[in-house]
Amino acid sequence: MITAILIAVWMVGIEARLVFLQVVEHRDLMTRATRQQMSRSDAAAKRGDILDRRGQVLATSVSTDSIYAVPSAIEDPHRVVTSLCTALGDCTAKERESLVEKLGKTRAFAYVRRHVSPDEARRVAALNLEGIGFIKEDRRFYPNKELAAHLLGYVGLDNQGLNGLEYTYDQQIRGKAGKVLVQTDARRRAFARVETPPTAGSTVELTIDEYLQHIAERELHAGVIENKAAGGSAIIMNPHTGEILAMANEPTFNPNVYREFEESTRRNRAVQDLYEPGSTFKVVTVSAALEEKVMTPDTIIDTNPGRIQVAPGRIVKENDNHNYGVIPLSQVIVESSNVGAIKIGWKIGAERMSRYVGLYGFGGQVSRDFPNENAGIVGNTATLNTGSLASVAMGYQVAVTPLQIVAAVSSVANGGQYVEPRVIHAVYRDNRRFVIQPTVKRRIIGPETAAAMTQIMEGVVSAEHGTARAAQIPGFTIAGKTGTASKLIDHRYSRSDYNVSFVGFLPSRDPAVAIVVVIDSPHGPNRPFGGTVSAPIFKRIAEATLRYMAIGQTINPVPPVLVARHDDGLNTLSGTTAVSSMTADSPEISLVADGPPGTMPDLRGLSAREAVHKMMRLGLSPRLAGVGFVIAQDPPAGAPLDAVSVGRVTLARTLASAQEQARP
Amino acid sequence: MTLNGYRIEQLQKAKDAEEEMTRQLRLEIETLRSPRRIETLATTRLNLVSPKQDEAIVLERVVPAELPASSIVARR
Repeated sequence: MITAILIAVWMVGIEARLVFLQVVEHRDLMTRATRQQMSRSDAAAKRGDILDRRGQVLATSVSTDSIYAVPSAIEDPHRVVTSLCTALGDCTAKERESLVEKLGKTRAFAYVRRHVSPDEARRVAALNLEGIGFIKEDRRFYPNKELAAHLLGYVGLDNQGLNGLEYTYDQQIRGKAGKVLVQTDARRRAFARVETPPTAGSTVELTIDEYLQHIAERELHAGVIENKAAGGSAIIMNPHTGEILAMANEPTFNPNVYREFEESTRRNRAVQDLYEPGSTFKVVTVSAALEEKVMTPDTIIDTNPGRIQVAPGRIVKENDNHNYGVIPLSQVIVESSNVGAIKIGWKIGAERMSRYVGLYGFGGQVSRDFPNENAGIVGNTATLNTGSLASVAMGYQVAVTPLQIVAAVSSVANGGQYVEPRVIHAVYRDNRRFVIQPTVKRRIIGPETAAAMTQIMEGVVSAEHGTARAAQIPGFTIAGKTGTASKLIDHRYSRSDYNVSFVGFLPSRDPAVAIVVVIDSPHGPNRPFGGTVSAPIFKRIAEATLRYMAIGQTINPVPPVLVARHDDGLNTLSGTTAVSSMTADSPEISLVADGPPGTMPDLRGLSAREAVHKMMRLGLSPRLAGVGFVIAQDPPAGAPLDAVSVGRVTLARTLASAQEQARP
Repeated sequence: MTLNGYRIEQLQKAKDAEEEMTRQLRLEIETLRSPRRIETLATTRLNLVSPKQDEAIVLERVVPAELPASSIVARR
């Protein structure tokens, strides 16, 4: 009886305790358990990649090991540092010292070395040192080393953009860290997690073509070396869309190890360095005269005796003391007559000149992708007296960037509109790709003026006395303009240092690219003129570009290969012959079955899958009727595709059924 | 249920590791494909040269169609 009572009391006691723990203390104990189990941390966002227009990787981040130490847990810093340095293999004396100092303190965390290679990490891990650990940190890599270095820029140790596009678009590229709450068991193994996933950084796709960038850099580098120049820039641009296909600068650097290079090499000269354009600016002067109908290409100008007084005590002469005599307007550009340009400039007047200088984009930033772009220096109407107007007409007293020049000439190339130069082609965000559309800013000159200017500028390259005959490429018409301008050194025009340039577009009547080459202070074997130094570099870049873009010659073009299909197979074969054997009978295979881009290809004879594939790649919605191989299509082969969104094909397995279908 | 939690964690870790490996390999590929490296190999080791203007005639260039202005991208 007493045992029963004791057991009952014991049971009640346990129940009471249970109730107490489960019900009363429930929340409190749960909180303690959760706190023990959960650990909260930041989920780092992956920095977005930078790609070229074809998806090739120009910059990417990869996880690397960083070695850290817990100084409070290290008893003998000297010994630890010695072992570490043996494993790492390349500690400098300074590094050794600073490490010993860091590890001697009583802090809880200190970096030993960040972003080490997998080999170094392995060796250090093998040491199994007390108080040394590893964490994963992302490191930025530029797999093509110095390719497009000035455009891409570089990042610091904490992956913050410091220069170039890495800096300009840092906010979008870096993404946002997320939060991870992990529940772990007693053995610190995770068994549940709640995440706010990190917002991955946007990947940025550039308008740059990796191969064309390589070409521009290669030829610019070779040209700078050959001409013993201080530096240079080259830009390749699509004159219709403003897309920058290549932007090269010399000297250049390797963004993977940017600290090993001087700051002067890291400057994007193409958008930051100013130079007086010299004769290239005559394009502005002459096109203004033509557009304002002040003159025509045949207007005669007297440039005798080869010099002219522009201000008291200031006389301007022609290059090399030439005297071009009485010449038509077009020859002012072709032979680059200073006297002619000055007379034209005076005829236009300061107000109109100033307006066209602004219309052509000079004196302001031209592209939103380069926030630190130099706006350049141009006069304003009030300060253009006779002497200044003469200088400006010749391309002096104005300071421009290579980007401004190529964008200005591009507007002549595309028929007279100013298109904003862009280097960003598309942005990837949340697994979607958004393409950036070209921006036409304004119309500068009418299409007739542009055509007249193009014809005049063709003469610069092709005419007997053209200044840029060195840029000629057999089979192609090229329009361009040379420029040679003394550099301003210590407020005086140098007699030995020039900025020499050539800007042009080709093929001139239907331009695919506009290219500018500017060389700073050539002191090499060639005479320091745009035509002798920059034009040959232009030619080499242009040749490689034409070949890469597969642009056939415009003079005596090779006719496209066309092959007739013979249809007599349809009449002679029996009803049960499969269509496939009929197509096997016709031995000719059309080499241009796809036709010129923008037109419907010939789909006849293809299987359903191939036809659907082809149509989808062109952006058409395919509609199929029948089964088998394509016997009829709509739109027909060769038809333009601009307003078409649906492609219809009729299929048949055998000829008989094909003929049946053909019968109404 | 917690057993599945362990599995999920393990698989998640494995997936992250594989993804990282993919990135590293992609970086390696791009480094090896860098135009300057290929050109140096082509000209010095294989003794290849660029064709001259008159040695190569352009007939046609087949260009992949432009993607529409906003499109979905498959995750790599």
